[in-house]
Amino acid sequence: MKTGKKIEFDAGVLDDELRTALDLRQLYLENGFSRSRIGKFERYDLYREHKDFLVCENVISFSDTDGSLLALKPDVTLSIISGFDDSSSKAHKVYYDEDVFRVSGWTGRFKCCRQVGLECFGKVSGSDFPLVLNLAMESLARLDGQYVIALSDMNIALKALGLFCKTEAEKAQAAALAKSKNHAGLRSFIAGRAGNQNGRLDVLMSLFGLVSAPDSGCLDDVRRICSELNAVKEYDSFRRLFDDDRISGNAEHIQIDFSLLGDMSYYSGLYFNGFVGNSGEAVLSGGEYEKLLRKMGKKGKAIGFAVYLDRLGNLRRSAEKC
Amino acid sequence: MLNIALAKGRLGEEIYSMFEEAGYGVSGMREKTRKLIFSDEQRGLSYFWVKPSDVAIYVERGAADIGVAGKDILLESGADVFEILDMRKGLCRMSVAGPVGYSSKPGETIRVATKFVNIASEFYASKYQDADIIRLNGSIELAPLLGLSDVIVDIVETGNTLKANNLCELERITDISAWLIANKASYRFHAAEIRKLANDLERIVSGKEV
Repeated sequence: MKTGKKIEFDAGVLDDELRTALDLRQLYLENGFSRSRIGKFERYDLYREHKDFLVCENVISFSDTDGSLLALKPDVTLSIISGFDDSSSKAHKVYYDEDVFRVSGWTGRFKCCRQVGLECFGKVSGSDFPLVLNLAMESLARLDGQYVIALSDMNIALKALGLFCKTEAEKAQAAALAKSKNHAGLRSFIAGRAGNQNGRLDVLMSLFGLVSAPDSGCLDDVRRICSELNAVKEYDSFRRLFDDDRISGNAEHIQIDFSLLGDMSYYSGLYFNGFVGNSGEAVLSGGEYEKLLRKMGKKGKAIGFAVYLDRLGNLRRSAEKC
Repeated sequence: MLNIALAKGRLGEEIYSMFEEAGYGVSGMREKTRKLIFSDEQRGLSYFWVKPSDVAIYVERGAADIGVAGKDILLESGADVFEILDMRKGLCRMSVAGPVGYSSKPGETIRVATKFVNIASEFYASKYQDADIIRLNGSIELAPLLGLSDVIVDIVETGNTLKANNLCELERITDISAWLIANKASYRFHAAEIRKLANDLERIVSGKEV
């Protein structure tokens, strides 16, 4: 690995966002991830084909001088994955620090946001999953001492919903109710279509009602629930994560919550959101996106996350008040 | 400290009574003062009254950890919040109303006057029906009477206003009531408190003692 010449300067010249970005880049570099650099433009078709994967499907598009349609990048993962060669026998481990152009959910207008994150894809090994989750937690710890990572497993949640929902559209409606924690609505929606199924609906509701640190009591509850919902294989895979000391050692910062669900057509397996004190919204999100790889015709597994530096404004403002 | 946003007005006061009954009252809330925030440091509760349509914004952006907002506001604003508990207060429905006997012709673009443009747009899109949505801010019932629209999409409680203007409820879109909502980040840091409060309120809602 090339090591650059060290430059000394006063850290005061860096604004908060840049300082945080450099801090995270250093963390990822030290953990074996190399920098991925991509341009600000991308083929518009990439986003048209995978619009459900985007945080927001609005894209700023324009014609290049040759007439081809381009877009200002609203996402980084799609660009990284579209360019990767899946014939390599290794896992690709990259990090990025890029501007993305998205519509703000609050103002409804486009804005440029700085996003730092990492991706691990290709021949991913079992130990890479706890590595990435741990780096997500370390990233949050560097943003604020008070942090929580909400963790779900989409394979478990979707297997459970699949027992009650006949079609993908029904599953999506049920997932939307679960995501908003509208438990009364979820129960009534499922009961109206599939009935109580000899008490199995109560078990499903206990899966989506569970919000807990991954202590032994919680994991026992999840195992019992999963065995009643025919999701033992999925549970065993999820459970292995907590055999890793980096994860079990940080259990007080983890909140297991199976109602946390990403887009069903792209994510499978682990899915997580990170929160820091006073941020008001998730400042980190990530998970396993093997289904995206398949949609792009690539082999292997994939897991990654993004840190939304533009969402740290609230945190900074409240720190200034103190 | 749990920050709670409640809607000013009769419905907000009824909701606060339920919080009080569940054991979450703070002193001064009922006094007619110019004070905006009512806190009880010891019990870790802080309430503030806001305009009904602003509750969801305060909660979504994390200025309030929880709040109680009408389902109409939640659906219209698309606020990204957790919907924890149906408080079964302010019961009414969002409906399509129009002149008695009205029915749209196949393939016709229906003209719809409403305050709830997002709800109306989504409703007609789900029926694959072209709709010309006209945003109004009040006296919605006037629009079909003056030929501005064919129908309206509005909140219907008793249906008396519709009846008095020779209009009737044509189609129910959804039931409306007040919901306990929570900010998605605050929920992560106050999960135990919010879940306990929701359980205590649920007992009040279902008529049991806490």
